[in-house]
Amino acid sequence: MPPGVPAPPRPPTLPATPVAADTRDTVAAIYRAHARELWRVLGRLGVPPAAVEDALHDLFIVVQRKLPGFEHRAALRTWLYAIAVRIARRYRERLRRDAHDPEQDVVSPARPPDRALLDAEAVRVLDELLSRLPEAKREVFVLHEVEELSAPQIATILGINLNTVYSRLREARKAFVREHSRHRFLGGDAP
Amino acid sequence: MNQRRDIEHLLTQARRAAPGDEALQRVWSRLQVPPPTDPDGGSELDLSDLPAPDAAAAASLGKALVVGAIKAVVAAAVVTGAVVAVSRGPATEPTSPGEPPREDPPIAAPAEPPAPTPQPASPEGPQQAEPEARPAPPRTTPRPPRREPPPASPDADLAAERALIASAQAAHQRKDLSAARAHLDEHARRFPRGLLADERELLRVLTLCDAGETAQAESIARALVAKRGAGLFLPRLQASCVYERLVPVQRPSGSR
Repeated sequence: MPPGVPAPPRPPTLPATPVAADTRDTVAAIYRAHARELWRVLGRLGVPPAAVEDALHDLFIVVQRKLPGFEHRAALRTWLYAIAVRIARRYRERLRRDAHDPEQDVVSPARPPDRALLDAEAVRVLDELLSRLPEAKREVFVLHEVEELSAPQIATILGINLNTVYSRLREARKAFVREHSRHRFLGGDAP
Repeated sequence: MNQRRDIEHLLTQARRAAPGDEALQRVWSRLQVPPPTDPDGGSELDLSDLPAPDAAAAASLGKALVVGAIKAVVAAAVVTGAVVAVSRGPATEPTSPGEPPREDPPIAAPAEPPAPTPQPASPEGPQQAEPEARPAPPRTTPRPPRREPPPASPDADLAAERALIASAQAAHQRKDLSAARAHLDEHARRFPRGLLADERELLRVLTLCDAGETAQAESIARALVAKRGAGLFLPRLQASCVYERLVPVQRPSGSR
């Protein structure tokens, strides 16, 4: 693969068009390097465990489409997270619209896709607490506290200004502590 | 303080959470198939407010790190290509950047140090074997004169798989059901446990639905969902003839 990839060899919007070879190589490398963390953040941002595979797939479809316009001086990770946030929003919206939780409405003998995550009690509790935060605060909280992104990065990802990030983070932390207290008080199974 | 420790514990666990290689492999396999024109019947993702990559770079604090990471990613791609090239020998190496892509599943050979994945036990059969992870002797010096008859390489297999599935998908989209079936049958015959076997079965369900063979479609769909879980396939079956049959059965009466 030449060093100056990816060249934009195809027209901009043709979803079903095969991806150019060099783009595919780059997508493979991005997938190798970032799929795990993107999977994680999709789950923490409220994509139901049973749908995380689909969400990750959707995310990389977007990456494949948009990559030809990508400049190598860009913040790849920030860009990927920005896509992840929007994918997660869409899945949450779909959940609300469908008014049922696909995770709960299917009893399958197969292991759920991220059984390992579900088995981790702490993650389950965390997700439960996160689900009680308002969405805007949840996004900031997850990106900062779980993904350990900086405030300026979060501002870019969410398209909000820096002060808003700080204020949302402050409120999100308070709300999270409050929910955690309630969870313990009500005999929740916090570790 | 106890609570603080609890919260820190939750966050630490969340930071460590990672999906299984098998799941990542499945997603990657799906990415090898050209996406349907109307993926899962859903609306297109609104990316109008997605920050431009350049803007993202400007706002990033760790710009140098980011650039380094990107270089690493590109380098990884190059290295992957190089490793594949070495393991396949020079005869099969594309000479121009426009040559057919290499299809090595990226998860089976992670470039990240923290990923403890020596070689995931592939549920999909031999097509997943990684050239670079193969225990075969590393052939670093090219030996053009005589090698054993070329076994179908994983790359070639996956390319062939993908071509068949893409053909089936195209035939299905233009409602040429017999052609779609022929491609699916051929895929089933040549790659019964191929990387794209699940995709094949999903397409088969859709094709059977269009042909009015609902019972058979339902039985295949049930098998698929039982094998792989609902999350992956159910959304894509939403517009099919079997969705209504699958969901009421699987939804517990008391679920919210």
